[in-house]
Parts: sequence; C-alpha cells; structure tokens
Amino acid sequence: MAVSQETIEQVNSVSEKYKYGFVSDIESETAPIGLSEDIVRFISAKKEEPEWLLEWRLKAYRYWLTMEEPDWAKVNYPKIDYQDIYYYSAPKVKDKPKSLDEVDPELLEVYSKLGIPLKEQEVLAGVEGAANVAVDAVFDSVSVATTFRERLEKEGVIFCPISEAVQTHPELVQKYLGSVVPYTDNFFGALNSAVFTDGSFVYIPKGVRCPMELSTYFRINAAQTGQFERTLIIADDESYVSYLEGCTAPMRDENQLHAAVVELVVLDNAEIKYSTVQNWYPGDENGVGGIYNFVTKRAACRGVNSKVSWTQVETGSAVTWKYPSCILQGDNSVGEFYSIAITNNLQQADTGTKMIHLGKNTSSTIISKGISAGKAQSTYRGLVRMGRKADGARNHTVCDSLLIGDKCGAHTVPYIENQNRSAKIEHEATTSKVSEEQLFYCQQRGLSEEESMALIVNGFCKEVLQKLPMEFAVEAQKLVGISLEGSVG
Amino acid sequence: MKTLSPLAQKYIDRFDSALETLPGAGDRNISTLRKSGLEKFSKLDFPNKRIEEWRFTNLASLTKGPANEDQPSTPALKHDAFKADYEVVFENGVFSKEKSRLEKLPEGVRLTSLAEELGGGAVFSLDEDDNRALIALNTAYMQDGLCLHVSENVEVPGVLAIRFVTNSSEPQNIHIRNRITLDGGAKLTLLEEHEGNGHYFVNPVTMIHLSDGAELKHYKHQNESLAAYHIALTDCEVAANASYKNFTLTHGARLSRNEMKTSILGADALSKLDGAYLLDGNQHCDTTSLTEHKVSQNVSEQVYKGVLAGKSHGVFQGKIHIFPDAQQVSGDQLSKALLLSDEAQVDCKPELEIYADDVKCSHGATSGELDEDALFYLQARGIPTDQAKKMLVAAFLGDVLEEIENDSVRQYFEVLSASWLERV
Repeated sequence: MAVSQETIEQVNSVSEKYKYGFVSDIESETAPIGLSEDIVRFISAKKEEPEWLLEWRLKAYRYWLTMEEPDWAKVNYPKIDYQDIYYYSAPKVKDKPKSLDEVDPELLEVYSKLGIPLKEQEVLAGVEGAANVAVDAVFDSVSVATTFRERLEKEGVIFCPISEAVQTHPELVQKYLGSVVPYTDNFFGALNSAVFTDGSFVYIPKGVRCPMELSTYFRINAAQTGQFERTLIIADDESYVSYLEGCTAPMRDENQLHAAVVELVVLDNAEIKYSTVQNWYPGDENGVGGIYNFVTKRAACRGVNSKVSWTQVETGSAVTWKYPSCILQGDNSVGEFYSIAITNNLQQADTGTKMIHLGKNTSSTIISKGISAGKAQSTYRGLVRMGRKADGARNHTVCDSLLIGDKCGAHTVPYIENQNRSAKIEHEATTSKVSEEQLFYCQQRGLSEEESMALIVNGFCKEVLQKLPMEFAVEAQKLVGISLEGSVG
Repeated sequence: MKTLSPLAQKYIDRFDSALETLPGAGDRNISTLRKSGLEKFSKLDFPNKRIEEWRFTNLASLTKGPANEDQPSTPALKHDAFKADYEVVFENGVFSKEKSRLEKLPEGVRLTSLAEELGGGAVFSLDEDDNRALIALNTAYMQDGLCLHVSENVEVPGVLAIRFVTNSSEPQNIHIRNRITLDGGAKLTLLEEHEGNGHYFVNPVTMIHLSDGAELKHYKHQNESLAAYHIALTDCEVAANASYKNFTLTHGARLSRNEMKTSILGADALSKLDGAYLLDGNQHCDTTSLTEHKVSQNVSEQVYKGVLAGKSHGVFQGKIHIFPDAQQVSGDQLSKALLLSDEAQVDCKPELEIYADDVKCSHGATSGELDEDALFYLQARGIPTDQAKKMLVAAFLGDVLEEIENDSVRQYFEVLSASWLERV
C-alpha cells in the first residue's frame, strides 16, 4: 500500500505539540466562585429562564447534594473541590450581537486560529467539495455565534444555543429536556442539570433531511472555570441529521472540569449520526494540568426503525469518563458505537458504551479501539443488555486494545446481560502490541520509526476512522499521530 | 454502625460457644486465628450486590433467614458413582475414616483431615489484605477438610476422589477447608464431588500450592441438593513449569458460586480453567475467576459453557490480570451460553486488566438460543424436534468436555451431562 497524503501530513504534524493550547485575552464576566443555590439562581437569571427551568435546576442541585462522586471507574484523580470552580463565565458584550458581523472580532480571531470557520461562505480548510457546515460556537459558558441559521430555518430545522431555544421553543425544550438523562441519573449529570450554561439545541422536523452538517465547537478559555454544556437533539419522524462536535482548551497547570450532558431523541424512521473529536488539553508529559472530562451522552431510539450512530475520537483530556449510550426502545431500532480512545503520557480514559435493547429486532454494533502509550491507562467499559421483550435482538462487539511501551495499561470490562433467548450476543476482545515485524517491515521501506508507528496505528483505527464525516476524518487522522508523539523509542 | 445481615449476626453471636467445640479448641494460635477471621468477617458481612464482584449474585435469600422451604431437597441428578482408585469421604463436613478407601495410596502421599491437623498444632494464617468475606468466615469456622501433601516427583496413578456428602434433616452450615500441596514434579488427578439431601449451606475453601513442575488435574462435580447453597473458593498458586488444570461441572444447588483465583508465579506455567454448568428451575450458578499473571512467559486458558433452562440464572465473570513486566504472556478466555427457555437469563463479564505490552490476550463471549438452521437441518432428515435439540445441546457441550484429559473422568462427565439432558 502506498503511503497516502494524509499519512504524510499527519506525520508532518507529529512534531507539533498541542497546538490549541493558547490563551485568549478576552474580557469575561463571571459568577462568584463556588456553588450554591444562589449560583444556580444566578445562572438561571442570567439566561432569563422561565420559572419551570429554575425549579428543575434547583431540584437537580438539591438532589446532587445527596449524591456521592462515583469511584467505580478505573481513573485516579485528586478530589475535586466543587467550591473552587467558577460555574459561569461569558465573554463581555455590550449588546447581544444580532448577526455574525457584530460578533466580537477577537472571538472570531480565536475560532479562526482553531481552524473553525465562523464565516458562512467558507468551507473547512483543506477539503475540497465538502458541504458547508453550520457551526454553533460555545465559548466558556455561552454560545457566541451560530452560522447558517437562515438557510436552516428555510428547511424548518432549528439549530440554536439551548439558552435561546428555552425562550423561542419552550414547549420542545420542556418536553424533551431531561427525558433521556434525568437529573437523578448520575453525579455529573445532576451537577450539569443544576448549572448547565449553554450548548446546542437541534430540532429536525418530520421528513426533513438536514441539508448540511451541524456542528458545535466548544472552547474553554477562562481559568478555574468549569464547562457544563447541555446538548439536546430531536430528530422527528423520517428525518436525518449529522452532527459534529469538537473541543479544545488552553494549556494550564490546573485541572479544569468539563461535565456535559448530551441527549438525543430519535423518533420513527429517523436517524442521528453524532461524531465527536475530543481534543481537550490532555496535560503535559508529567501529567500536570489537563481537563477532567466527565460526560453523559445518551440516545433514546423511541421510534420504530430509528437509528443512532455514535462515533468518537478521544485523544485529549487528562481524565475521561464517558459512555455514549443507546436505549433501543423502538422495534427494529439500531444503535452503533465506533470509538477510538488514545491515551499517552499520564492520561486516563475510561470509556465505552451501553446498549440497552428493549424493542424487538433491535440491533447494535460496538467497535472500540483503545490505544495506550507512555504511562497511560485506557479502559473499555461497556454494557449490552437484552431485555425480556427484545425478541430477535442482535449485538456484535469488538474491542481491541493496542499497547505501545511497557509502562501503560489497557483494560476491558464488558458487561453482557441476556434475558431473552432469541437474542444473540457476540463479544470479542483482543489486546496486543505493535509487533517488531510490522515496524521492521515499514522501516525497511524507508519510513522512520515514528512514521511507521503512525501508519500502523492508523491501520488499527481504520474501521472507526471510516465512519467519521470526511471533514473530521482528516483532522482525526492527524490527531492520532499527534497524540502518540514521543511514544516511540 | 451498619447493621449486619441476620445470618452474619448469628455467626457472631454463637462464635464464643463454637470456639470450644471446633477442632483445635485448646490451641491458642488457632483460637487467635479464628478470632481474627471473625473480626474481619464482622467488618465485611456477607457480600451484597453493591460489591462489584457480586453484582449478579444476590445472597439475600441465604442471609436473611430460612428460605426455599418448598424447594426439592434432593440432588439434581441420580447417577452411578465414579469408580475411583482412592476415595476420601466427608459426611456432613466430617471426615469418615470408615467410608474412605486409602490403602492403595502410594508412598510419598500424606493425607490427613483438617480436624486432625488443627488438633496437632498445624500453622494456618489469614491474609490481611484478603477482603473476601467468605474466606474470613471460613477461617473463623473451618471444621474439617482434606490436607494432602504429595512429595517431590511422586506421580500418583489413577484418580483420587474426594466426596463431600451432606444429609441434613435440619438446616446446617458447613465450612470446609482443604489444603493441597504438590512438591516439585509431583503429579495428581483429583475428583472433587459434592452431593447432598436437605437444606444446608456449604462453604468449601481450597488452598492449592503447586511447586516447580508439579501437575494437578482438578475435576469438580457439584451435585448438591436443589435447596442447598454452595459457595466455594479455590486459590491456586502455580510455580514455574507447573500446570493446574481445572474442570468444573455444575448442575446442583439452589444457588452456587464457584470462585477461583489462580496466581501464576513462574515461567512456562499453565493455568487452565474450564467448565460447564447445566441449570434448570430457579437455580442460580455463578462462576467467577481471576487469573493473575505475575511474571513473564506463561499461559492461561479458559473455556466455559452453560446451558440454561427454566427460570435459571447463569453468571460468568472471568478476569485476566497481567502484572507490570509480565511479558510474553498469553491469556485466552471464552464463555458461551445457550438459553433454552424464555425465562432463563445469563450475565457475563469477561474482563482484561493488562499492564504489560508484549502480551496476547483475548476473550470472547456469546449467548443465544439453538441455531434454527442446524435444527431445521436435523428435522429435515427425519429427526424429531426434541431429539434434534438434544443432539445440538450435546454437541455444544461436547466441545468443552473434550478439554478433560483424563479419559475415565471425561466419560463420567459425559454420562452425567447426557442424563441431565434427558431429564430437562
């Protein structure tokens, strides 16, 4: 196989370190430090929220107070002081910008530095013939810009910050918010429900195929701030949407908390394709700094023949705790999970999925690739459950781990629960290392050791990389190389 | 302070009086050991479902008082006894010299009962770091068991059978402690059988140590009363060049758990844990294993198959743990379950925990019903549905039974499986 252009690009960028680690000097407005009912009220008031939402937040906050931080995941981190975090930070603006032209140029500068186009005529760099992508840009606690809104409105698609949707489409938000991930679900989910600040809201009406990719770009900038975004996507009957999500943060010595909740609702014959490239700052080679990424993502396939496909490339964050899941309620519904988790240096990732089969003839596929290098620990943790009524349900799971170096660890913890005899479950897992033969073969053909490693690892990940939308695939392939930088030799 | 389960409280309350009747009563060391066991147990209580290793097995029916009154209290299977070369019999947890046949045992084999050893000042210890409540409880209450020592390079021909027979008209709790040591190059084939009538709780703990080049084939047949609780723990240490091969056939007990921990401590060592569980009615069977590769260059293998009928519940948890620097290790594991009824359930958790890079590990797990196509194939050739199903189940089990190396034991287990199938 000839070396492809991507591989060369990716190898070129291997020498770059975390290139999104800059800090932007943007004046921001923050809430007082710490967490209390007053802060919850403050956030709600800032967003001019209706009474029901404040009530919901307060219920979540009070419930959260009764909960204990979970410790079952295979990750170690010092205890988080929840009173030492700013729960709200927003770039200062005089008036809300009415159009993209009014957005603070400094903010636009940040996003252009990150390679995210906030101008509508542009397409993502380097990819010809790609369709336009509508972007919602979330900066710390607020959404600063959303592109292509008019074009989407013509099709009836609602794509806006969730804080705006609360004002403009309260009936939809009230109906679905918390219906997939209730505030009682888990510790970080409850925290998010109490203090979430922004995120994207998407509604695809009946029979509409969303004309472009939708995307949200999350950026943490302010120090000592937690980011708590909430995303809600509803795909009504016979609709389709592909949604992308990206994230970066500055390099800092402190650890910052990111606890998001993503809820997807899929009705009859609808499909959501949800892709994530998670590239939060992972900390330096000594494990100093980095983001704690504790995320709850769940999709409810409520309709018949509904489908959800999660694809994730997890390269960043000091600690990752994330299990995008599917509840397959509708008959014939389909859940897919494709994941690459790369950990290097002292990163820790405990990630996987849950596939809960409730409806008849539901099927799910799980492909998980974990790569550990340096002193990193990576864990696949997954659940496949076949309910009593899931006649004819199917699951196929493959999780492979690759170890690079003898100081890292790779772990697999699948839970497989079958209560229906006509359900079929297959699970396989392997762990291995890049063999000397493979490396030698590539080096013999003139590639350096690092180039060879990147090539082999990309081959290992190929099944998952193929599932990404094209714009992301290029980016993701590069990321694979960067994340493994310094792991060879 | 948290409240203990009623059964745990009972154990604590009657400990002082039990101390005087349990073997080794006069010995201060033994009393101290028992006390430390009880102290640990009283901190832990019986495991509940909040403990990760016990998430699929609920002991509430055992620990909250008498239950299963309406359960049939006979063994799952009636069968002809296996013709062993040597036989050790324990009745209601007590060694029976009369029923045991040990004359033919070759020289170099020392076989005694635990009660004897405890009376004679043998040294036992409790691992402070071990947080398994049932080992702690067993340490406090161990009453008898097998103490077996095979000297260097002694190869014991034939099969040594150990039978634990329980016949209890009243509910009782039996704590057995076995200690098996094979010196360098020793070889032994063991068949451990459990059978009984009545309501009882049996808790056998077996500690095995295999020195360099020793070989132990350990077969276990669990055919307890269908009202019984059987919670067994087996720890095995395998030194360099040694091999431990275990096969467990389970079809008895209302609720059973077979927990195995194998530590591989040397190069070119092998651990092989295979088994089959055949369940019906509302039986619950839990197989939990932990295989630790502590050093480089060794192998572990595991294949388990389960057939579940009625409302039975099967659990398989298998963990392969590879320690840092344990390179060139191979660990494979496979668990398959066949569900024969709508109400049967199987939970499976194969787990890999790996801290070394030059290793090859894999696990696979499947569960489902009989293959429709295979069934149709047989029916199309004039075989009645019932018989065709039995053929397919037998073939499914045949695969794993073939792992048994000892011919006579394999044939015995094949007959047992076939007669179980006839009944279901």
